[in-house]
Amino acid sequence: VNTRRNDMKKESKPSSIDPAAATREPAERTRERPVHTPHTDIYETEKEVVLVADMPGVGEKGIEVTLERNVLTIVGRTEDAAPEGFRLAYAEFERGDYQRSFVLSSQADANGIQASIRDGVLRVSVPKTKPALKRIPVASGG
Amino acid sequence: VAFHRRERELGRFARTIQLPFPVDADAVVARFQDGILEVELPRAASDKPRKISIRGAQ
Repeated sequence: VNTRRNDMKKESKPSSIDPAAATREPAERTRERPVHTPHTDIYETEKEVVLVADMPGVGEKGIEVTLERNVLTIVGRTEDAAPEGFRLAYAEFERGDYQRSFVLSSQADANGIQASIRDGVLRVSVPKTKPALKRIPVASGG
Repeated sequence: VAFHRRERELGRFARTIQLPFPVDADAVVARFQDGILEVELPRAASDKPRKISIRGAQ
């Protein structure tokens, strides 16, 4: 039995990949639907940071991924799928939209971000820029 | 690979549900779209309420 949607918290603060980075409050919402915080995995490889979020009911058209400064926001919109002519007998899965924000570290390559959704699972990959190695020439004190 | 956050549950999903009435097993339809499974189970014709006419009323 999987009833994990019941314990979903509504987060208003952006979660941070880089805990040291500053967070901002997101803007107010204008759609009158419940908004869920999607369960998300974030992992990092040598080349990229990958974010995988569960958004059941969201198709390709309902996805919005935006990056403003260093805040990556994912939004998933669902449509009401209640079949006509039926009355609801039991519900533990609340339909609604999804939204969550993450603070990226300065290593993120904003131009290379890619997003895809399949079976209601969103995958966003954020490539890392190579840390600029700066060699400081040392003058020899002659 | 280093994990920063691990909130998703992976693996198999299984659930058994007791139905409130007999269904027409041949007419059951299942759909899976965008991660949501929808199963439509029509009530068996033999279980549908019927009107019984009264005989012998004068």
